[in-house]
Amino acid sequence: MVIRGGASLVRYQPAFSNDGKRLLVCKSALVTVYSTATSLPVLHLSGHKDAVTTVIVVPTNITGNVSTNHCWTASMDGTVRFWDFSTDAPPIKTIVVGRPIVSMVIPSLLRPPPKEGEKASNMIAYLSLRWLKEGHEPRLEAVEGGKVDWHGRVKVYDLTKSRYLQGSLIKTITPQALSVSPFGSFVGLTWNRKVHVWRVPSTYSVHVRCITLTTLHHTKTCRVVTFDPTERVVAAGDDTGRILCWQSVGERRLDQIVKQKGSPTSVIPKGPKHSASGVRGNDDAESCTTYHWHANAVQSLCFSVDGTYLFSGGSEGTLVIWQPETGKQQYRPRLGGPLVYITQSKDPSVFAISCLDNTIKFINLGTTHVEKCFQGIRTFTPLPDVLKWVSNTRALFEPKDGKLAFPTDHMGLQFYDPVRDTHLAEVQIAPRTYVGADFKKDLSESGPSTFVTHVAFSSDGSIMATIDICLPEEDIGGSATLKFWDRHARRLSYTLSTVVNDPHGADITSMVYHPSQHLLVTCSVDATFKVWVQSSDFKVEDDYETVTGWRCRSVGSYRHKQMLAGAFSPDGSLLAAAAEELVTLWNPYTNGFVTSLASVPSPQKIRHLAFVHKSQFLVAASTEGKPRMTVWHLPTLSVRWSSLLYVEALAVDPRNSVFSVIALTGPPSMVTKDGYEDAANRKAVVAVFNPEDPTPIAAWSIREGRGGTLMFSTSNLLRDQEEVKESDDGRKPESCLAVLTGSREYVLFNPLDKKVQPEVFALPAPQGPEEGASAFSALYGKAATPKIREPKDVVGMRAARPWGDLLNAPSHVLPSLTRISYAFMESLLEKQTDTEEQRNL
Amino acid sequence: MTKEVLTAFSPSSDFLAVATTDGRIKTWDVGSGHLRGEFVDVAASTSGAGTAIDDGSGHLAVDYSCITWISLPTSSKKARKKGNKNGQSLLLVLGTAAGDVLAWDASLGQLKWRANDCNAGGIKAIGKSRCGKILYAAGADGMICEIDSGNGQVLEKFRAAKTAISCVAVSPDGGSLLTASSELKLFDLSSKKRIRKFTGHPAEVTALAFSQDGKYALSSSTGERQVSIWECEPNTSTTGAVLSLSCEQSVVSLDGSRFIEGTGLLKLLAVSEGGVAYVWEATSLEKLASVKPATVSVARNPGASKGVQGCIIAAILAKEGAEGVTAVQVAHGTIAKPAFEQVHVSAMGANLVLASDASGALLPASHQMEIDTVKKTNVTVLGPENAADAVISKAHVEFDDSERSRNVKKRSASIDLDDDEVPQAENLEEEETAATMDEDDEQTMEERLISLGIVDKEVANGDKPETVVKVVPPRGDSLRVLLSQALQSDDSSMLERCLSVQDEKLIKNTVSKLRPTEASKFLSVCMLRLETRPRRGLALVSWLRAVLLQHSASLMTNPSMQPVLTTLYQLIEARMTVFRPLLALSGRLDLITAQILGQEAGLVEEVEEVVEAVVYEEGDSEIEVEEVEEGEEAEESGSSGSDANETMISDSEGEEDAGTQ
Repeated sequence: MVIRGGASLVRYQPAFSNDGKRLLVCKSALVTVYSTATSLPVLHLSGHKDAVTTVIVVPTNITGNVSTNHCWTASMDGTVRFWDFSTDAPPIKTIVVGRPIVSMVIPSLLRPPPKEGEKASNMIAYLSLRWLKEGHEPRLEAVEGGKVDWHGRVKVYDLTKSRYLQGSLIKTITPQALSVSPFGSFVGLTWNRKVHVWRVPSTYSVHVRCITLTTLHHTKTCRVVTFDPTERVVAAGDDTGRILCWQSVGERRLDQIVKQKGSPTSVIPKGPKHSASGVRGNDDAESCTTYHWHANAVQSLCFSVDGTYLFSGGSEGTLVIWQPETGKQQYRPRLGGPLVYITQSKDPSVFAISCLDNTIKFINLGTTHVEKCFQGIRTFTPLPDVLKWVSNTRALFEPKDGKLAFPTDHMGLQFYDPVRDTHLAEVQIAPRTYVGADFKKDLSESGPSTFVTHVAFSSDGSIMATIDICLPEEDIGGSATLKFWDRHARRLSYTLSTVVNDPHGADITSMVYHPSQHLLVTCSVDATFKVWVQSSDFKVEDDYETVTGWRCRSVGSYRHKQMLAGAFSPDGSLLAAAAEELVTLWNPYTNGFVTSLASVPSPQKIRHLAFVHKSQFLVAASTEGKPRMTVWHLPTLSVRWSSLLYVEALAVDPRNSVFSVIALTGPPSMVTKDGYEDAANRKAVVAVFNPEDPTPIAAWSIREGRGGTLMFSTSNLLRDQEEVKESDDGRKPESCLAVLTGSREYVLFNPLDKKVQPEVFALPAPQGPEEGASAFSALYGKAATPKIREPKDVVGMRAARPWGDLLNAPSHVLPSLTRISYAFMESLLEKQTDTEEQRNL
Repeated sequence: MTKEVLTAFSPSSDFLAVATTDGRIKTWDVGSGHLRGEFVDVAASTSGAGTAIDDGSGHLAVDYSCITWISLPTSSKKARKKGNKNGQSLLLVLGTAAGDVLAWDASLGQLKWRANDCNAGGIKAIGKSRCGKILYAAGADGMICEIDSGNGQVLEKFRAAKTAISCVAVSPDGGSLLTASSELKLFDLSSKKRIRKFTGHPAEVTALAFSQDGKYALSSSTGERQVSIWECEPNTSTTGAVLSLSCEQSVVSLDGSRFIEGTGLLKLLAVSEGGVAYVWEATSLEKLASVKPATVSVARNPGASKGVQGCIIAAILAKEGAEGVTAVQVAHGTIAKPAFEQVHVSAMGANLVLASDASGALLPASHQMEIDTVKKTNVTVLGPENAADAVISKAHVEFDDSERSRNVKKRSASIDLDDDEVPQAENLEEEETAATMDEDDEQTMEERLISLGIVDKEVANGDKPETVVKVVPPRGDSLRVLLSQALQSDDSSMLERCLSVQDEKLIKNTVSKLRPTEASKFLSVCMLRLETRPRRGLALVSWLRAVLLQHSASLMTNPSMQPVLTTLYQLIEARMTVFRPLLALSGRLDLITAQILGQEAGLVEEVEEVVEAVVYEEGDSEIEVEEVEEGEEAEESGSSGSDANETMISDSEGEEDAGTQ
């Protein structure tokens, strides 16, 4: 059984069904239909092989029937599909376009239905495609080339005849999103400092030349364009927060166009650049009005159904409701995150806003109250560059209920049910609300400055420890706080028990909880690790009440080396702490140093460290310089094998003696440099290893591996309730691996179950399972360089005499010597050859 | 009898549906405790709220009488094959007092179908087959109405009783149906014929459930304070209850989903009228009779008014925990805001009391404030000096070497561990070179010996000479040979063994047999030990004395021994300087003790003397002299240090003189 979930709800614009009771959301390769009444998922439309980028619900005015539930979807896999979303049946129609579609609009859907006797026009779609540059190999799935090979192109496609119209409308460096006017008369696109508006022709033609283009110029980079319901106003938002409204675009009289065509010299305006109406240059518009409230870029823009109001939103997290007639504004602040899409529902008073914190909120226009909220999995915020080497907690399982916990931005911790794919609760680690983009000059530098970097749970889940940090601003005000929380006995709620301000005085790299006791270890770059224990001897001064608090029991350090990672052995008797390139082993109870392990070839700073359960192996992985993963055999203190892998995440299975890694496949030099935008660098391999063997048991490739993590669950999430009832207890416990990608999609499966394998990553992100080690080693060349050294204490014991107890038997039961002599001699001979073979080996 | 509040957990216990008799249904998400949906009657939602009141089809017009959840697989088989959870659609089926059956789509929040006029006189109970395809509505008219749950069509009706049926349950295999009014009747569903009849309940049955394996039926009736268990297997013929489990209040709902004979654990859950959940758990039916149930209840809040008092609204046996501990999913609190908790019942007979959490939005503000203040627990706050009383980590080696680590600390003056703990080849070499370069004396050698485990620590340190016996002292005849060997080879451990001998005669004999060169070497070695560990003097002095006595001549003539002898002399001199003041002190102390003794002896006389002392105004010095004389007299009686006393006194007098001069 494979459980999938997660993914961003807000990456692409959602769409309402015609009755307004369902909301269609693009979730990676799926389209999920949500009920607006209960905000529960109703069904999934699955079939696309890659991210779905557009979903368009066929409006009722085409068929006149209210209950039609049909939609068009376009995806990065280069197909356009037509669905009935009342059932989760496969698509009705699939059209292969052949290029990754970034955005699609179908204006003809919005056109008034053809009159009686008129022939229905063809379905014409405008596609914004990711177009392979000339001279490159035309591969559909070729994302590896990175952005240099690609540019954007807008083409017109006849969905009825399944063919392109000749020519392209525009070429852009990066593919841009398209927007369409409410009645399908215009298609718009912003590119750089221009807004392009095409008038959709009413007649059918075979070439895009017949489509008139109007270009509107601006001095700033435009971000978003929208049309009002009267189709007379074009509104565009720009990077600086201005909203421009052009009236009567493209309505210049025909004679002017003819005149322009006749005398091209008159096209270039000689006069002043700014006309009285605010229209720049010779743009084909009557007038232009500018509204300015947003401090940062306008990311979303939408007109109300009657055109009276204009909604805009940006990274401030504030929805602004404009009345363009009067210029009055109304605000709905504190929405929790940048607004990326505003979608008008069929009910004119309700609209949906997509916030970047992965929520879709329904806002009532009259009261500006949030009526409903669809909370997805929280997005992953990578740590800033200064803390890039800290192996922070990206997600982990809450041990008591088997729920997932994610540190979120704004100092929260989200609890998520992975089986039902629903948000459960959010614990606020430190009080903080979203305050919009920081008002720094360089926008690229400003990111969140507060993070929850580490979370750890006790094995029974009763205690949670968190570390939240606040980055210093110009070297002032940085701080870190270690907090201990007590869980409510039966509910998912936590109360704070101890706060430790500045537990180390330096950045904390790792935090691990003891597997059986209430003991916590924090490692830091100040060259120490600290052991925290529960103590009940804190006296409160006013009422002399004993409070159970936590205190630092001991401090350890090794040669003034930074402590970069920590791990407990499964039974808790050993603590491993990575002192830069060395692995040091300690007794966590007596705080005594046991030994240290030094990697001989090219020692690098260790970032990940874990003990493999039910075996005697320790896995260490370093990511700097030449990334390397090393497996130590603890009884002999020797390296069993090591491999050149860039390990992004490491997890050990508590039920079987295997471990699993996410290894980035991009070359390490590229990874360490700026490569976040590069799709090639985000590709990764999930591999499951037996610690004895450098060849992985199984491997799958995933996209968005950077920022991903993986973990093993201890609870039986993969079994249905019915299965649990019927389960025989003698069954071997199944492993349950959760792989979480950088885009916060997750898959739960049993990595050791061979039956599950082919289906595992067939669908959303990855491109099928890789066949064993061959593809794997092909990726790395000499990846597997095993140095298997057999431990010397294992001495091969030969079995007892091959003839067994035969000669011990009393003589009267022995058969005659002539009978047994042959068998006896043969057994001796067999032994002889056996040893000879061994010698030869 | 109609219940005021109808509650039901969904099959996967993800949702709780609460229906009130005014026609409002709310579904709550168990995981997050949030309200998922609120359904009002379809008539109101289609015709609009304004007209709803006028024509009487608003939510108040519907009177729900029973509730159940069913989960229906969706039409597509592909989705089911994938194991997709969302391949199932949840339906909430309600029966009304008017005799209609309504089915709501729980995820879409809309009415799926409505079957009108199934039972005249109102629906009393709805049973569902395990897959949920067919529903059985039982009504006040004694009829059972079979309904297709996919579209709400009435498939068949048959009469099950002459009187009203109060409860209905379908066996897990879907083959038989159990109806209950005051007696229980078992029907074969294929033939619609009655198979069995169970009598015993005095009144209308309020709760009815099948066990998971279908072998038993559980029931409870109004006014009864017990749960009856009936045997339903076709080949049995008992008409009475097999077993009755008593509880303190009458039961309103039963859960037998973990009641499976053969698996070894029979679990049974009942929720009583008063909002208490009872859990029985036993390995066999016989044992179940004697088991005291575990109860789960909500603590009474004395400050809250009656309406605010929380109680258990609904409970269900949840998925088992990892160790097979019985888990009960409980909804408690108020209908306005139920709280969900999963309670683990560890022992039978236990009374688990949940804290009443009345933090609902509809509660009076004063009450909420109270709770907030209670919640504010004391938080321990630690600052950056959190590691003040922390233990500093140390090397953990098999042998006890606290002495050594102290040395290490002294040398490096930091908490860092030294390199030499790393058992690496190059590090060991480093350490050795460092050691030889560092200090060229005996001390490091000893340390090395300690670390190698050859020499016992106490012996090497000489801290406790009494424990020297641990080292086996050499026998008298071999001592000389051993000593000479040790001196020749500079073997420290062997020498220590020799020095551990304390017998005067043996020492004398051994030393007398030493050659003069050996004797001089032995003396220098002994001196070195005495210098490094001055406390060893006691053990060494007999050896030194013997050497000096026996070999004085050769030592005197050996010029190279002069510095050694000088140091020895200085050492003795230095020690002797302490001797005199020590003796003086001892003498003073003796004097004082003697005075005290004397005072105790002649207490009465002394008092008189004191009086006299007050009388005489002059002659202080005389008194002093007298006192001294008295002291002397007292001392003379058996005190050996009397002359020391005298010297002491003279000393002090001399000092006084010096001070005055």
